[in-house]
This record gives sequence, structure tokens and C-alpha cells, in this order.
Amino acid sequence: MPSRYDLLHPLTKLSLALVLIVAAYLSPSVWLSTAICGAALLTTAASHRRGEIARVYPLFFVPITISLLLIRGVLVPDVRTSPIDVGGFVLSLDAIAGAWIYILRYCTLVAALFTVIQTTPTAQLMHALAERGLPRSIEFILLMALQIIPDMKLRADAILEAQQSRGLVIHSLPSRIRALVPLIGPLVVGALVDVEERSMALELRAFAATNRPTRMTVLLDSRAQRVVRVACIGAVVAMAVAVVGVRYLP
Amino acid sequence: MNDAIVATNGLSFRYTRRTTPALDQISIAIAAGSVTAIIGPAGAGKSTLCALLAGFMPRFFRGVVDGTATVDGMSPIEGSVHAMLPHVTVVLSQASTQISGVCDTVAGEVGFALANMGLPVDTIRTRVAEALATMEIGHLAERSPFQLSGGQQQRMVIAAALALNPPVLIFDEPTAQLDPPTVAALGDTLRRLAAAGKTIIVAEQHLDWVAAYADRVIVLNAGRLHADGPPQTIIADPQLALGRSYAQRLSSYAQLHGVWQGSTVATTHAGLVRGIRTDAPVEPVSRPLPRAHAAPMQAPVLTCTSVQFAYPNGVPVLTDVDLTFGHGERVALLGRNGAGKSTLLRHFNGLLRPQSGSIALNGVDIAKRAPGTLARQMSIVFQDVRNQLFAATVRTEIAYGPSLLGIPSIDQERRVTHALAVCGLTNDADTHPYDLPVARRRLVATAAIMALESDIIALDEPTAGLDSDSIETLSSAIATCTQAGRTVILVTHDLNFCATHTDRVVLLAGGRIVLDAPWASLNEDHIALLDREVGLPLGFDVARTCGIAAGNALHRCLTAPAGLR
Repeated sequence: MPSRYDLLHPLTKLSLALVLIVAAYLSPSVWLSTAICGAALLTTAASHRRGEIARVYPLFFVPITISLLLIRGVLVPDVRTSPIDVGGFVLSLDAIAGAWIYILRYCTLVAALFTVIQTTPTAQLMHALAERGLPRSIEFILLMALQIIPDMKLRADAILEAQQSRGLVIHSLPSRIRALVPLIGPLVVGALVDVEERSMALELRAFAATNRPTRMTVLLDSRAQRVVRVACIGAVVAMAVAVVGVRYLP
Repeated sequence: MNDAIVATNGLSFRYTRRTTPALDQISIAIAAGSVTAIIGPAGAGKSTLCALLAGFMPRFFRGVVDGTATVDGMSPIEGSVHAMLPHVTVVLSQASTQISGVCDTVAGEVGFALANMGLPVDTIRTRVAEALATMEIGHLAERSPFQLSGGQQQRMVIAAALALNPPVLIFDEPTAQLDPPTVAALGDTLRRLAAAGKTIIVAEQHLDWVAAYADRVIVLNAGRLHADGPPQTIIADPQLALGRSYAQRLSSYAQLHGVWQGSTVATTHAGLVRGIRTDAPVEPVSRPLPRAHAAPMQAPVLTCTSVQFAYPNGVPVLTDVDLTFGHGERVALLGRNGAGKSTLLRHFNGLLRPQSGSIALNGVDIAKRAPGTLARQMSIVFQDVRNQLFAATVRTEIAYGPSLLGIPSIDQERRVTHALAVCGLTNDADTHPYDLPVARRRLVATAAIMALESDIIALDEPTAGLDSDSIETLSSAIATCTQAGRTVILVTHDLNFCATHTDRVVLLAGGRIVLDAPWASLNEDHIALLDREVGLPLGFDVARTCGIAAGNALHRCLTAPAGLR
């Protein structure tokens, strides 16, 4: 059952994500960054697919957290402030705090955007953008690129199965290199052959029609959502102006 | 013909950079409200004619057009595909490449063209619902098109064409991926559409289907009009060398056994039912039992024990599958689209692992073996041979598998030469596989697997898209395998082919094995079950329509594999 967040207009969700991402990028303080990241995670929690989405987060967050802590905390330590010696490595609390802000920015970006993508059917997102003037050809290219990815993955799996069925074993780096041609060859040739048939299929689906296409989905919108979107855009502009003012004005 | 809705006059087409025409002086007139089949060997020009009538030449496919063509009063040569859409549409043979990639649901895909044409939402919804219902995929409306099986995708693209509702519908080999009930249902649907005034043109290899559903047959050969007439006349004409339909083969066989009362061979099921003498004395005909059943049981070559498998979302695909295959057995693995056949096949050589239960090859559990290491024991020719072919010549393609297995070069050469000869590819050895017609590419893939000389060879939909000559070659290749003692598993919707080339039938329904018996020992209940799930091979179907009981001498005669050979 879709949640109230899931049913928001795609552009409302995108606007909320944008304001969180910009705020996280501009935030100078650890505590504010933590709060903003928490807000991004709240959007995940508000989705009916929160379980599925949350299961993927460790894959995104853990490697980047470890690597950023190492890079910022150990390799670029600011040893003039609060140096800590850990088994020969000199860490700095300020450097760790700095790394933490970067981690929070990254987590905010991932959580905000991933939740929007996972809770918004691609066609609806493109529909919303097309209503705001996105050219049809761009809409199609974006949609096709997004939708074809699973198709290519299936094709790649099928090629691997076909070659394994005739004795291909991949167990070491040399065997992986040797397997490249039998695996990539059918993928490329298949894709080239597919292009012709897929183009034919699009012709047969009236894609070349010049009239305004009918949209099969109705995007739910409301005055409140429109106000929220305007407020979000206003907040983004205000934050940008504030930062420019603080940094560059005498 | 005055009421012709499709007409061509001296129509020729030569692709750019080709020296010979793909179509040469074709003059035909097709009446509205008819079903016309276009048949002919691979490369005859069937698909080119279909594409041309839909408006693809000469702008989409570049080339030189001569002569004239009209479809519903429009010239497809002068108009674009888009301009022709209200008048004609075509369904291509490969379903997976006809998915636009733009819609995230089946319903969206079926209605995509209508939406692009700017039709009102209500009209689109109504037409989509009708088309989905016609193709019996209403329950899949909200699924992703990419999550469907090959057969389901084929039904979806046909539904998308039906939703357009043009007066002329062209189908290029529409039955290649469909299970027999859907093939029959499609035939009935096309007949219904023709009765309602639609004009149906079908490029098809399947002579029995053509005989059953077409009003007229146009035969092309090397781009020229070879013959044109009613199916009974065309298919029965030996001068045309079209190969014989299964109905013709069965009626000739009945003649041979003195149970035929007609003066000519039949080309349809109805003709067979009329011609069979149910009161004639029949000499006993024995159908051989499979080796594993006829001879004392040797150690089985493949054993599945309580195999269970489910998709990551928890939907069960295989449930409690217990199976044993003996050396040299020939087994048909049957089931509707989505019954779990391909999934089960992938378990046999370790491509998929059962979630519980076990699989053993030659008595050894394969749970910890990498799939590629099992190719000496078990190999598979998959349905989409594009996933397999990569080499620059047919010879190197066939040699690739034996080289992976570490076969010495002298033996490799022997295997390659043998596989080339068995699959009728000796003269194509130095040709690039993609320079061959699609039907022959499938034979290349089969030869590449035969060269592995595995204990078990499985073929997934081996006859899909093959012309009659290629099917004959495939039959010989299968016979060579079984003579060498290899186990052959056919996963196919071609019931007549598998009834001719296998001894045992394994039927899957909803991921469970609901029938596992030799063809020779099927009783009335088995036959009814088979009919309900996938339909019946012709001999069984005719015997049932004639009221001949299973086990009866005449029943054994009509269902013996030699009858269809």
C-alpha cells in the first residue's frame, strides 16, 4: 500500500530532495549536517518500501564511511589540533569531524535521491518533467536508458549461462580475460541487432507521431504541494544567496 | 481482384549493397477479411514483404523499390510507417526486441502506440483491456514487460498490435515462442478477426498451422512468387517441395497401414478425422519404450531429488521435482509458458542451484561444481542463439567448446568436422555465423553443443523459426546423438516434433511434475491431462477425435512416432 509520501507529486519529492541535498552541501556544522541527513532518512522511513531501501543503504554507506574516515582522518590529519596517536597513526578529531560532514553529505544525497527513485515510477517522473517542458526525445532517451539496464543485465546473464553450458569456467584473472570475447561479443552483436528491431518496434508504436501524446497516468497534485515546491525552490535560492553573501561580500 | 485491400504489382526490392533482389516482381491481391499465409524457405523474402507492406521500405530499410503496392488505399512505399499505422501494423518474430523500453507495465506497453497517437484515455483503456483479454494476459497488466517469459512477451506484443485495430494486421512468425494452446488460441483469434473484416497476413513456417487457419497460401522462393492458392492445394503439391506437414505424414502412414479410406492425403486435422478407417483391422505396431524403461535400469545419468526453487520474491517455480534420466533416453520436457521448464533445465547443469533437494550427474552431486565444469556431462542449446555465437567463422564457433574442455587438437578437428557434417554446415564452415539465415544460425549453435559430446544434450525450443529443411537436418542430428548413446532432452512447444523424436514425456504444471511416462504407455487420463496443459500431438488428437481408446491397436498405430516421421 503506497504511503502518503509515495503518492506525492514526483516534482514535490524531487524538490524536497533538492532542498535537503543543497542544505547538506552548504551546512558548516556537524550537528546541522546530522539533522539534515536524519531528515533525508525520514523520507525513506515515510515510504512503504522503507525495508527494501534500507537494506541497500549499508552497501552505499559503509564503504564510503570507512574510506572517507581513513582518507580525511589518517592521510590528511590536521595534527595541529587535537592529535591522537593510534598505533603509530596520527589522527585528528577535527579531521574526523570534517570527514564526518563529507559522509553526511554523501548519505543525504544517496538517501534523498534513492528514495525518490525507488518510490516514483520512472514513467511518472518523466511525465512530470515533460509537463514542465522536457523535450520528448530527451524523455525517451532517459526512460529507455533506465529501462534497458535490467534488460541488458538479463542478456548478460543469459550469455554467461550459454557460454558456461559449453564449458566456460571463470575462476582466475587470466580466465576472466579469456572470457571477455565470448561474453562481450554476443552482448555487443546482440545489442546492435536489437537496435534495428527496437527501432522498428518504436516506429510501429507511433513514436514518430507529431501530435501531443496522451498521458495514461494522472499525476496527483494539490495547492499545498505547489506551495511546498515553491518554498523548496525559494529555500534553495535563499541558501545560495546566503552562502554567497557570507563568503564573498566584504 | 476488385475488393483487394492489399495489392502489389510487379513489386521488387533490392537492399542497398546487395546485388540480388530480396523481392522480385511480386504481383498479388489480397481480399479483405481473409487470412493469407506467406511461406517459403529461409531467405525467401517473407519478412521483407511484411516490412515493405508496413511502410519500412525504402526509408527505414534502404534500397531500391520497383513496382507498386497499396494497403487499404495507401501506398506503403510513399508513406512512412507512422502514416501507415491506421491502415496496417506488423508484429515481428522476436518479442523481446519489440518492447519499447519506455513503459513500466504491460498495460502501458500495449497502450503505448495509442497514447502516442493521442487517442482519448478511455478509448486507450478499453482497447488495452480488450487486447489483453484476447491474448489472455489480463492478469499480467501491471507486471514489468521485462519480467515476462518469452511466450508472455510474444502475447503482449501481439496484444499491442491488436489494440491498434488497423484493417490489415501482418504477423511475421507469430507462433515461434508460444505454447500450443496459445498457438491454437491465436489461430482462432485471427480467424475471428478475419470474420469481423480484418485482413490477416501471416509469414509462417508451420505448415499444419497454415493448413488449419489460412484461406490462402502464397509461396515465395528466392524473392519470387513461387505459388499461390488454397492451403490444401499448395501444401499437397509435391512439385513445390515445401516439405510435408505432419497431417500429410500421418495420413500417408495410415494409408501404409491400410487404415485410410480417402483417395488423397489429408492436410488438416479434419481431413485426417474423415479419412481414418476406425473399423479396419490393424497390424500390431509397437512403439519402443525408452531405454531406461525397456532395459534393466542402469545407473541413471541425471537424478533430481525433491528439487525446490523459488524466485527472490518468494514465488515458487519448482516444487518437489523428482526425476531420473537414463543413458540414451530421449525425453520431452513439456509445459505451458511459465511452467518452470527453463528453470528446471538450468538446474541440470548447475546454472541454478536448488533451494532444497539435490541434483546428481552420473551419481555425483553437482551442488559444489561450477557450471562450466559440467559441460562434459550436460550441455544446453538455448533458445536465443544470439547469446551463444561470437566467433568469426562457423568452424571456430564449433571448436570453441571442445577447446574449453581441453580436448586434444586432433580430436577437436574430428569433432568439429563431424558436427559440421551432421548439422549440414560443411559448406558454411568458413562463413561468419551472422552471415547465415536465422534458421541456419540455430544449427550452428546446435553443432557447437554437439561437438562437446556431452552425456546429456538439452535443446530449448530447437525448432523455433526453422524451415522444413532445417528441421530435417535437426532430426538427423538428434538421431546421431541418440545412436551414440547420449541422452537427449527436448524442451519444446512443438508437440509433433517431440512426439516423433522422444520416447518419454515429462509434463510440468505450476512447477510440479504432473506426468512422467513413456508416450507408449499413456492412458486416457494422461492424454486428457496432456491435452489440458499443452495440447496433444497430432496422432493422439486425431485418435481422440475419432473415439479410438488408448491402448487400442489403431491408437498405437496412429500415435507411433514413425507415423509423423
